[in-house]
Order: sequence, then structure tokens, then C-alpha cells
Amino acid sequence: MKKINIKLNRQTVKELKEKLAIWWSGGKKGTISQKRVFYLAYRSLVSRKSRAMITISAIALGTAAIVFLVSFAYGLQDIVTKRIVQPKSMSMIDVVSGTTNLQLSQATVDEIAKIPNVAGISRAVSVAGVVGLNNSRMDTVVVAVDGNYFDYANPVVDTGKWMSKDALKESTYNDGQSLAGLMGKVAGASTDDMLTDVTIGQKIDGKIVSFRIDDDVYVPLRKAPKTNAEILGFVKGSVMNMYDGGLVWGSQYDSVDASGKAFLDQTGSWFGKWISTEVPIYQQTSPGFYEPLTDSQGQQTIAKGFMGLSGAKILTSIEKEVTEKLITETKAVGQVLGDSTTSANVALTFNGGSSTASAELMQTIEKNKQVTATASSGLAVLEIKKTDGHEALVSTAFVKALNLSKDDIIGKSLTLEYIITGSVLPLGLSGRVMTKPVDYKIVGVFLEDTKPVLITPLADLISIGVSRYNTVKVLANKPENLTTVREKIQLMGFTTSSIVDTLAQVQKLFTILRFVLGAFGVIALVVALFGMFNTLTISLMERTRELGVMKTLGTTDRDVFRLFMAESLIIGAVGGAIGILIGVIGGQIINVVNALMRGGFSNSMFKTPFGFMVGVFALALLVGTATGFYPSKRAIKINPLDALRYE
Amino acid sequence: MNKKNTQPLASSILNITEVENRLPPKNERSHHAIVQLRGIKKEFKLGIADVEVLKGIDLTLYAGEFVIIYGPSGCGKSTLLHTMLGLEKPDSGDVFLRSENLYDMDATERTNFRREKIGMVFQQPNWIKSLSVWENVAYPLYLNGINDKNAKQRAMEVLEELEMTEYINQKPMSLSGGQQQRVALARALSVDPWVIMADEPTGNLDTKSSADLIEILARLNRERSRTVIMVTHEINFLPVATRRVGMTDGEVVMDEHD
Repeated sequence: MKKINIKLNRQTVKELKEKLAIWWSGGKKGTISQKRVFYLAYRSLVSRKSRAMITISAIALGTAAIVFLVSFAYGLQDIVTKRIVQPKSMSMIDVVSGTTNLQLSQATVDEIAKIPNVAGISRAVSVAGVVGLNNSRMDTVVVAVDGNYFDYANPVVDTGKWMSKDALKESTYNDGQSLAGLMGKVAGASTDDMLTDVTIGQKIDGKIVSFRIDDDVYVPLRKAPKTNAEILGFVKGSVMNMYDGGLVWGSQYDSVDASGKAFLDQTGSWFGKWISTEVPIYQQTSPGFYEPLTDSQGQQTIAKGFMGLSGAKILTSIEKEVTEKLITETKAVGQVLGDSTTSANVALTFNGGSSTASAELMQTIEKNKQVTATASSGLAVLEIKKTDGHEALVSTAFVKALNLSKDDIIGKSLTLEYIITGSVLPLGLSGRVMTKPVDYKIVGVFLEDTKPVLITPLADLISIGVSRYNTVKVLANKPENLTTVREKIQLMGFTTSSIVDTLAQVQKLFTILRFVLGAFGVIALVVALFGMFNTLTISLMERTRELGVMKTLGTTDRDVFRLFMAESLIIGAVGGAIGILIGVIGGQIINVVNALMRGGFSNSMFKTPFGFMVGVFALALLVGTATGFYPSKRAIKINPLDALRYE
Repeated sequence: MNKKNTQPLASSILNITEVENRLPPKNERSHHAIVQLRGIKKEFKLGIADVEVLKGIDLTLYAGEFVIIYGPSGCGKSTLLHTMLGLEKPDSGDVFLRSENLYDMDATERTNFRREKIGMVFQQPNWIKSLSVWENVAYPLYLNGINDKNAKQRAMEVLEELEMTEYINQKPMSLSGGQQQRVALARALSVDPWVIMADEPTGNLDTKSSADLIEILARLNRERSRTVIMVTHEINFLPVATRRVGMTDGEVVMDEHD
């Protein structure tokens, strides 16, 4: 059966070929070859050159409008898609902790790794950091990443290279030390146990410290470090206020932390920690309402007195610097915290679409800027245990902020102090953890124009016991398996996101945009078609006599129809082709101009897929033919004798 | 300026005599009927009145004849020719070309038949204006599905025969009236038709050109044995014809042959 079918098919093909040859080149009695039809139609158009050209131009402009506008939509879609989609992103799942208390611990990561079709996992921790380079210090976001992060998130390395394998290598630091043992020093509570005896009003260490009070909290300032002493006024807490003072021993007081009952002497009396300070004070006008206490000249009274330490946050030198900077910046620009609106950009370009991670990152920075660590634990300072291969990449914004050139910065060293808070703290620690300054060698600069960001090896943070992560990128072995892997991770209670979601949205949006812009172009084309219809009809009237000749000479109705249709087909085809050319060239010119204005590098704003070009050409042919249909039908109906009498 | 009216009548008569003198003798009449009209009737509506243009014409024309159908304007001679061409379906009666009944065919068959068997020349020069002289002559050949090369060759042959070779690449509209009618005749001859039908072919020509065209038609008839049917109101041409059919008010009133 099969063989016969093939034979039949071959025969059919052969017959078809022969028919096609006759149709094109002629040979059948009583009908003009298609080649000749096109030639005659062409000659007819050429004999009315200016009219044909105007009609073709109109069609070309209409087509060009469609191509130009839709190419713009395609170009935009491409730019947006390219920014979102990286080589592996169609198989990539971003996992974040979500709203539950589930944490992305190492145990969780191990469990995710066991899910079928998972090809790999890349962990990342986003923390704040203070960087020292060339005597200048700067706050940055530090993203500590696994080695495969480069493959997974595709940061664009602008200059230099990615971190070396040595730098990224994770080592085990099982030296028997407990996590508490890893701590160097806990500020504020470290030397207390050396004391044997204290008296009220005795200085604790004789140092001047800087402190702050939480926003909108008013702390009573007393004449003496005793809870029954006279209240001179209230000290206002604000992000914008930083005070200096000295620590003294005073009477015990109730506090949520250990400050109120900091020392028990041999007689069994508790002593609390107080701050002796000189600050502008406020008075309470009614419960909950305060206003500045002023003297006769209207100046705010500055009083010397004592306040309980529990109401204050002691600042370390770094925090002091950060706060000072924050205060000056806030005063200068007034919008330092407001720039978190640009975090979406960071998310898109830097974290590969994970806006959740970015938001958390911003929170971390702000938390650190506000220096609101839990008072009880103070600030733990840890030492990075991994000593070899400290390498880092810096963002282009980082380079810009330091007024350096990209090439110069490669190979330089910087010091980095990590500031770790919240969900990624090493287990057993709370509050804030800082690390001792570590020297990092800058090996590369990556493209990130909005924020100073550092990329460091996750191994370094793991070496101080970090075992929980902000984000985990999970790579499915195939894009098709993305959904099932995702579902399994979500069953574990985690929130996942994938570029696929965004992409679907983006594509939907751009499809709409394409149609809207295309519709404008179609309007232009329709106007052109009315013109073409008019031209063809007038041309038909003018040629009524000629039609009579054709018919009396023996041109069949079918051939008359073919001749007229061929003319509109040529107008459609030539107009369409020229229009596509104009549309594409127009877009490309703008691309080139745009690229030149941006210094030679730019994404194409206009993009014309080949399939779309073919589609538009088909459309031009179709509408051209459709427009020619009615005049051609009319041509058939003309009576040859009437036509010969027609003048 | 209409040259025809400024020429003295005597010169026309003189011309036709000179033409006849240059021509070879007329052929013997054959008995092979080429066109047969049987009871052709045709009415036209003119406003509210019906005008009977053809009142039952019976006529048999033979192969090799040079027929001139003449008569005053409105006698129905052109309508009769159109009926023979298959362009005007009579209200009643049959038209045979050889054994083919023209109006038994459907429109396409009739068109095909006309294209292959009848060569036509009109009073008005009717051209496909976008095409050159030779392309216009080749046009009916294209319609017959003849390939480009052969069509061009045949067109050249016919044009050469009619001494129009030097004008082949011009647009027909740029030629004089007489030259245009020669090209029209070439186009009619290109398909090698059974019969040439000419409707007032000299109507727009001056006397000299008219005489030339008549000479050509007569030569085609006498030297090449072509059947020519010509409709005209110029009775001056009658001497060169082998058959003269006179019409008045839709009826044949005179039919004589040599």
C-alpha cells in the first residue's frame, strides 16, 4: 500500500510540476502564460508611471509604518527580555524563605538538592559591609556567593575576571571551637566580671561614648544616676540625633536588657549602668506629647544629667561613622533612605530578577544605618576563619563612587567588615555581628550602575558559621522540569519565583503593545488601500476601450481578470517590499544613531524578526489582491462592443 | 482638418482605378461556404421605441471572396458584421462559420473561436497602449499560448509583409492613421485566421491611405486567397471587391458577384 502511495504521489508531483511549468511559461492554447501576464501588467503600470509610483508609495508607507512601529515593540521586548533572561534562567528557580518562619538553612538546601531533576544549587547571602580603600570608607551591599553563582545569575563582568576557584573553595573549620568561642569580644559587657566593687556615680571606663535613642522615644534625664532623682527633662530619640556621654554606675532599674541590673556587689546590691551626658532637653506637656524646654531667650535648654543605659544604643566607631555620614547625607540630600526605590533595578540587573532578595538587602542596609541592634547582645565581632584567597568583585557604581577607573582598581586591595544581621546570622547568635576587617583583592568589576555592591566568596562567611541563606537559586536539569521542581520546593513551604513568571507577563504585555502599534500602522495601510482602490478603478475606466480591444481580440474573461489582478498584485508586492525595506532601514538608522549617542554600545531599539517581515509582506500582497478584486471583477463585466464605442 | 472632405471626389475615383490597375486579376469564385447567416433578426431599444436593425438576413459568403457590405449609415451593416464576429448575439437566427454555430457556443468558447479563426480590423485604431507595435501584433498569439520567441517571430513576419518593419518598436499611437491600420491588419493576420473582417477600416483615413489599405486588402484576397469581409459606406471601393452586398434598413437589397 505504502509503495503504491509513493508512486501515486510521485506521479502527482510530476503532473503538478508540468502544470506549473505550463502555467508559468505557457503552452496551453487559449490562455496567457503567467510570466506574460506579469509582464503585460508591468508594462501597463510602467505606461502610467507617476500614478503607479504614487500608489506603490502609499502602500509602501503604510507597510513601513506597520514594520517600523511593530519593530519598535519587538525591540523593546527584546531589550526587556534580554535583561531578564540569562542563559540558564529558563531552568532557574529563586527560593526565598517566604512569610513563614522557615529558614533557608543548609539542611533545607541539602533537601532541595535531593529533589529529582535538580541539576544544581547556588546559595547567596546578602549582608551589609563597610569597605576601606585608599583611606576612604564606604557602606556597601555585600553578596557572598557560591562559585556557580556566575553561571546561574550571570553578573556582567565588565573588567577583570570572576573569582578564582581557590577563593571560592569552601573549607571545613572544625577546630573544636564553639560558636561562642568564635566571638572575639562582646561590646559593653566584656570586662564587667573583673570588677569587685562599685559606687553610685563611679565612672565605668572613663571613655566618652556616642549613643543614640530609638526614634520617637523620650528618655528621662535625671539630676543623679538614681531612679528617685529629680527629672530635669527628657532626651529625644531620633535617627538624626547622636549624643556623647560617659558610662557611670548608678542605682538599679527595671530594663528589658541587662543594663538595669548590671553588677551585683558583695553585699547583694544591684547596680545599673547609666550615661552621664549633656543634651538639649524636652518637657512633657501632656502624656505622650513633648516640646523643647526653652529659656527666656527662646533657646532650647541644654542640661547636664544622667539617663539609664537601657534607653540608649551605644555606637561603635564604625556605627558612629555610618550614623554621622547618614546624618550629613540626610541633611544634604534629604533622601538617602528614599533611594530604595531604585532597588528594583538592582533586582533586575544584579540579582537576576529576585526582587525579594533585593528588598531584604535594602532592609539590611537600612537596619545597619539606623544601628538598631538588640541592646542585650550588643555587637559581636567575629574573625573570618578562611585565611586564603580573599577575592572580591566590585560594581561599576562602587568604582564610580570612589572616583577610580575600572582598570586601576583591578588588583588593588580593600578591607571589608561584614555586618551580619537577621535571618542569616550564624546559629546561636542574635542581634548584629561584625567581622574584623579582612583584606580582599579586587579581581573584577561587574556591571551594576546604581549601587555600590561587592561580590565575595560565600566560603568566607561559612567559615564564621553562617549556615542560613537569603536566597538559593535552584537549577532544574531542563526547562521542562522547572514546574515540577518548583512545586516540590513550594510543598516544603518556601516561596519560589522564576523568570518564567515575569517573562510570561512581559510577553503578554508586549503582544498587546505590538497589536496597538500595529493597529496604527494598519490605519495608514488602509488609507493607502483606499487610494489604491480609487486608482485601480480610474485606471479601469480609462482603459475601458483597451479592454474592449482585448476582449474582441479574444482575451477570455479569466485572462482579463488575471491581467488586472496581476497589476494590483505587483502594486502590493512592490509596495510591501519597499515598505518593509523603509521600515527596517528607518529602525536601523535610529538604532545606529542611538548607539552613537550612547558611545557605541546600545541594545537595538528596533528589531524586525524575519517571520514578521514575511507576514507583513503576505499582508501587503493579500490586501493588494483584495483591493484589486472588485475592479478586476468589474473589468470582466464590460461589454466589448460598448467598450469599443466608449470614448 | 479632415483631409477626406477637402479631397475632390474625382481623385478618389481616380485612385481606385489606379489601384485596380496595379492589382492582379480577380480569382475564380469558390463554392466553399465560410460564413452562413440564417434568418438573422436583431432589435435595439432606442429610448422607448424598439428599432428593428436586422430584419431576417439570409446570406452565404464563400471562401476566397472579397465581400464589401455597403449601405447608408444606420442600415445595420455594422451590426451584421458584429453578429458574424460573435460579439452581438442575434434575437433569432443562426450564424455558422464553416460548420460551427457561433451562438451554440458559450461565451468563452466563442471568444476562443474568434481569437483563432477571425482577424479583425476596426474603424478606430484600438491598441493596448502600453505595448509597442510588435507586442500588439503578438498579443493574440500570446493569448493562443504561443511561446514568446515564436510569437515575436510570427509578429515580425507579418509586419515585414506589410512593410512596417521600421516601426516595430514604436508605440502604435505615435504612427499615422494609415500606418496604424496596417499594424491593425498585421495583428488580424498574425493568427492566420479563416477570415478577415474589417469594420469601416478607412473611416478615419485620408484618400491616399484609404486607397493603400484597400490595395493591401485586395492583394491579400487575390494573391493569398484570403477571405475578406469589409463593411463600408464608401461605394468608391466597390470595383475591387468580388462580391458586393448592399443593405438598406436592415435588409439586403443588392447582392452581386463577379
